[in-house]
Amino acid sequence: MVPLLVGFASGLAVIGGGAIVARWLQWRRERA
Amino acid sequence: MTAWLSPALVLITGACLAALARGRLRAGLILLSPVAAGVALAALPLGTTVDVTLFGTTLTWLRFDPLPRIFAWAFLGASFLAAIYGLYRRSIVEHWSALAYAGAAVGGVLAGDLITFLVFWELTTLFSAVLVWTGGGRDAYGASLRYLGFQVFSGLLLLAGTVALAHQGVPLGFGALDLSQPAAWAILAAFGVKAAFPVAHLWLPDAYPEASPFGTVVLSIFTTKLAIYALLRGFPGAEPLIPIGAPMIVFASFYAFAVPDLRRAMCYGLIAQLGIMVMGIGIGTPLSLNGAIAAAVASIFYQALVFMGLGAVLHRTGTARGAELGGLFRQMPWTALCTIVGCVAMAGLPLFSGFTTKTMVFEAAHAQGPLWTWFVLLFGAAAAALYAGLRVPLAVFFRPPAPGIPARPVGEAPLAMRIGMALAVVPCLAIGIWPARLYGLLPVSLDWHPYAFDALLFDTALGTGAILAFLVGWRFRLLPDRQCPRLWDADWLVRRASPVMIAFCAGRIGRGDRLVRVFCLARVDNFIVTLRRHHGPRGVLARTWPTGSTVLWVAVILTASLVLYAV
Repeated sequence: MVPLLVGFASGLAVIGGGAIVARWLQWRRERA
Repeated sequence: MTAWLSPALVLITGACLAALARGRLRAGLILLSPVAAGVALAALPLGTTVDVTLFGTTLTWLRFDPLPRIFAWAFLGASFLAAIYGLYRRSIVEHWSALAYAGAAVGGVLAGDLITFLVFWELTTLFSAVLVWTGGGRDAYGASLRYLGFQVFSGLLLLAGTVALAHQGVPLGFGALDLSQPAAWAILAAFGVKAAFPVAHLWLPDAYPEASPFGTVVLSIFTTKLAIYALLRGFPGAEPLIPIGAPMIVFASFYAFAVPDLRRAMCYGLIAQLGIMVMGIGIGTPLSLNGAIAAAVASIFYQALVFMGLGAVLHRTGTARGAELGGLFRQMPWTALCTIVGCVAMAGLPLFSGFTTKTMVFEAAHAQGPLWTWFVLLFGAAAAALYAGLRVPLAVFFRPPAPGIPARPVGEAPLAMRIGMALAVVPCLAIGIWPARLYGLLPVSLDWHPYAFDALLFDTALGTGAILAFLVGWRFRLLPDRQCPRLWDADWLVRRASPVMIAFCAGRIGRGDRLVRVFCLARVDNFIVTLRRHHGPRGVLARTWPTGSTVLWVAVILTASLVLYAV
């Protein structure tokens, strides 16, 4: 169970982090 | 006598001969050079040492023990595969620099003292910079200069550390260094620049994607792995390496998943893999050191294979951006299968080389290190499953192209590329299926069984968790390829902030320079005017005096002389 959770949490962190930065950059570009 | 015939010399000589040859003879020499170097390496008995006395200093030109043996074989094997892959390129400068670069790297791992190592370290800098430069275009030229700057800085640090050690009377044999000496920290920093430590990593994702597909493959093989060898030789068990390796894994995994250009993304993947090796070296147990060595050897091949596949895609389609690719499996099936093998090996799936090598470091961290190191390594493994195992194959080969992106009627990669890729698949599978052969070459003999049931179950559960997270991201449209613009790393410092700062400083310096010049010129003008007033044609000293005044002055001076004489 621990590795499953670690894998899931790590994956979400990588995907979520990327998505947040991408959205932020998109928002900044549109505002400019 | 044969000990003098270092494989490094064989490769560098082969590179020079290939540069002079033409046509098929050139191709033959390019392929033959790594083979001949391999023969020279096979002829070296283990334990061979060759000393040379130069200017009164004894240098160990060659030292052949188990650590250099495994790295030298991996370098030679990979350079042979890269040479085959690169035969589609006509540029002799590229082939010459690739072979000479391989020779310098092999010479570096065989060097027995810090001075010899420094010479080969600098040669790798020189030849690899030529490889970046031959990528062509203004961007490649700029990247090669920035790359050269970082590498020269690394060489200077190594030189400074070596000179300081020599000044302290420390023997210069290349062995474990003591971090209580400041000179050892300079040498660690020098190795760190080439091993892509955080912030010092900027050159890697900046320069590697600017080289040609062949150049990127060659670059991915040598520089960073030579640095890993140097860390293994100089700093096994150095605890600062653990907190240095951890951020390499975390930040690079994030970028590897989000950066739009897939070759640049895989450069970040390479940094994350290096982070695993750096942590393994820092943990310092026999298992973790063996794991770091094995992971470096496996990484040489799977990383080269991934770059070969992406290079073939770039060669045919003209782009390596994930958002502009898709659906290439049917058009490039050979490339697709080989690239997927490389990606899966990088992701650490069982039966592939990443699994049988990196798990040694994970197990060592679990047994020896603090618990957080183990979690960081698991994070790195799960992230590798995402950025290598899923993102690259899906974005390039399986997902249909995005709306608005025209379907690309492309053919399969050139024959040389396909043969190179197919041969690079062999070590990725062989190390995964029959790891005992590789384990037998490791410096410390250990009883390690990667395919224990628990380990398999653990790895499967970890990968499944990562896949579930990917599906969630897919469902909620969080995946980056369709939406992500240019992602800045700390390279923002070099590419954006530095030019602004240089322009700002140049403006201030220019203004100061103008002020100083105006001030000094005004003083000089005043001096000339004063001089002219007194000594010019109308000056006091230039006037004609009347005879009476002159006689009066002569009489006064004579009287004064007489008075002084009398007194």
